[in-house]
Amino acid sequence: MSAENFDLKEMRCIAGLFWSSYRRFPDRPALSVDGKTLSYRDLASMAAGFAVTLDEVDATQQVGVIAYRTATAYAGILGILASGRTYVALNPKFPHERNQTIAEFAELKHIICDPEYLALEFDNYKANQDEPAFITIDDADLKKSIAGIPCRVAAPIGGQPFEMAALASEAPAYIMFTSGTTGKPKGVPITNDNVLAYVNNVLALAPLDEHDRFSQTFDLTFDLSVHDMFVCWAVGACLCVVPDRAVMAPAKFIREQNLTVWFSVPSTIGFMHKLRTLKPNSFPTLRCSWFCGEALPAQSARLWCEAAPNSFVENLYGPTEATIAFTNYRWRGDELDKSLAGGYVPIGRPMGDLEAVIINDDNKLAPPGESGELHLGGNQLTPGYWQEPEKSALAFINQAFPEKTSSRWYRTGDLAKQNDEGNLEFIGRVDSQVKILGYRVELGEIERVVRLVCQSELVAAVAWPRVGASASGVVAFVCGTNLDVSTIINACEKSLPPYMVPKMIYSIEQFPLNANGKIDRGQLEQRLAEG
Amino acid sequence: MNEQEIREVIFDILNRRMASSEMTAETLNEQTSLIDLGIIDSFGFLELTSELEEKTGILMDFSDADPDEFTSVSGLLKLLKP
Repeated sequence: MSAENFDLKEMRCIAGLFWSSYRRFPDRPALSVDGKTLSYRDLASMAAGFAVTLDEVDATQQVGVIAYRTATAYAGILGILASGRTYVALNPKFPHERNQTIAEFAELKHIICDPEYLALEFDNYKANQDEPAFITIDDADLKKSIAGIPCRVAAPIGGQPFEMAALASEAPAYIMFTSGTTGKPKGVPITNDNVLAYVNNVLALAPLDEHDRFSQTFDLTFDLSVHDMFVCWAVGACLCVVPDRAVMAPAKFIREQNLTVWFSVPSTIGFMHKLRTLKPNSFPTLRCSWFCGEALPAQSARLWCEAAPNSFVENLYGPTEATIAFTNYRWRGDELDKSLAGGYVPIGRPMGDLEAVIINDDNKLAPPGESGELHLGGNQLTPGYWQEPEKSALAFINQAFPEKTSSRWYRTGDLAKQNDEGNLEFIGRVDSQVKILGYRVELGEIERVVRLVCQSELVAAVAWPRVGASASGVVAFVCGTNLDVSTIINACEKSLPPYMVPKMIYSIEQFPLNANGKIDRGQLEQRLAEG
Repeated sequence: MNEQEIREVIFDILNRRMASSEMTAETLNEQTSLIDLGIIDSFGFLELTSELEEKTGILMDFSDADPDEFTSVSGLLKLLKP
C-alpha cells in the first residue's frame, strides 16, 4: 500500500506525505472545516504561505500553533513542517498559564495564531519581556478584526513555486507536552522518521485511498491528532474536522459528512449509546473505526460494530513517547467476555516490526499469562524527553532480550500480560496497582465489576482511606446509575474478594477530567480527602 | 404534559444545578448552549437528559439532532415535544 503512494526512503519530512498527495490530487478535497472545504491546492497554498513567512522572519526551530479547528491550524502545522521546523501545539481551551509554561519551556519565539484569538493572546503575552511574535492569516470572512494588533500576516502563495525545506529526518516534527497532574509538563519530541514509521505501519492495517473521508476529533495537543492528519493526507483523503460541540455526540456529523474512517477515544461510544444515537446501521458509510487513548470496553466494541456494520473496529494502544499508537487488535466479535481481561478488548500486538516485552517484578521476561510492565522497542521511540536527560535516563533502558532486535526500550508504566492467543492485554497502570490491607490489588479489576453491575461505562475505583503507601479499603465513583448503593455492593460481593469490595459507592454527576479528557483520579482523591 | 409544564421541569432541574450561581434558569437565553454557558459539561448533559426523560416520560431522539441545538433549552423543548 505505502509503496504505491510514496517512497518512504525518499521521504524525509511528514509534510511530504501531504505534498505528494497534492501533486497527485491537487483538486481533491483535503480539509473540511468550519463549513468550508479546501482542496489540496488551497491548503498547500496556505501552508506554503506560512512556510515562506517563517523563513522571512527567520523563525527558530520550534514554532507554536494556537488555533482551534480552523484552516489556520492545519495550514499552520503543514507550513511549519514544510519549512523544516518543529511544531508545538498550544490549546486556546487551556488556561493561559499552561500555554505560557509550554511556550517558555519550548522556547517559542513565533506562534501561528487564529485571528480569533489574536487580540487575547497578544494581551496575554504583552507583559512578557520576550513575548513571542504572532503570525496569522488575513481573511475577508473573519469574525474579528486583526487591525491594530502587531502581527505578521501570511498570505497564501497561490500559483508561485514552492519547495519544501531539505532537512534531516532526525529533526522533531513536533513536541507534545503531556499533561502531568502536578508541576511542569513533560515535552516529548517526535521525529519525522518516527511519524513516517508510524504512518507506514498504520497503512498496512487498512486499504485506504483518496476517496476516504477521515474524522478529526482529537485536539492538536493530543498526539492522536497526528494520526488523523497524516494518515489521511498520506493517501490523498479528506480530513473532516468534527466541530467542538459535536465531538461527544457526533452521530449527525458522521452521516452528513459521509465519513468512512472514524478515530476517537472509546468513551465517545458510551456517550453516544446513552443518547441512543448508536442504533443498528446508524453509520453505513464507515469502513474503518479506530479507538485509542483509553481502554476499550468489549461492550462498546460490540455496540459500535452494530452501528457501523460495514466497518472493522480496531483497538490501538500506545504512549506519546512511542509515537501515537504502537499495538493493534482487530475486534472479531466472537470474543467471550470471560476470556477478556477486565471486560476490555486486548491491545493486541506491536504493528509492523515494532517490538514489545513484558518485564516482571524480578526484572525478567514475564512468561505468557504473567503480568508485568510493558516495554516497547523500535523506530517509533522518541529520542528522549525535551531537555530532561534525567527523566529520559529513567524512562528508557538499554538491554538485550533473546529473539528481539531492539536494544533500547521505553518503560511504559503500563501493566500488561500476554493472553493465550499471544495478544497483549492492558491491565492498568503500574502505579494504579495498590495495596489494600496488604493485598496487591489492581483497581481496574474492581472497576470492571462495578461497570458490569451498574451497566455504566463511567466508573473509577480509588483506594481509600490511605494508610501510608497502602490503603485500608476501596471506594468507587459511578456516573449514570439508578441502582442504590447496597445493591451495587451486594453484587460486587458476589465476584470480588472482601478486601476488593468497595466500601462506598459515590454516584457522581460528572467526572473531573484532565486536559486530555481522561478521568482525573487525583481530583477524585482530593474530593475524598476534603470529605 | 404541555410545553409550559415541560419547560418548568427543565427550569427546575437547571435551577438545582445552578444553585451556586447568581443566575436562574428563567433568565437564561433559551437559544444558547448550556455547555457554552458553563452550566453543564458533556457528562452533566447526560445526567440532565436522563432526568428529563424520567420526569416527562418522553424519550428524546438525538439521532438527527445537532448538538448546537439540543444543548440549549429551546433545543431540548423541541426534542421533548409532547
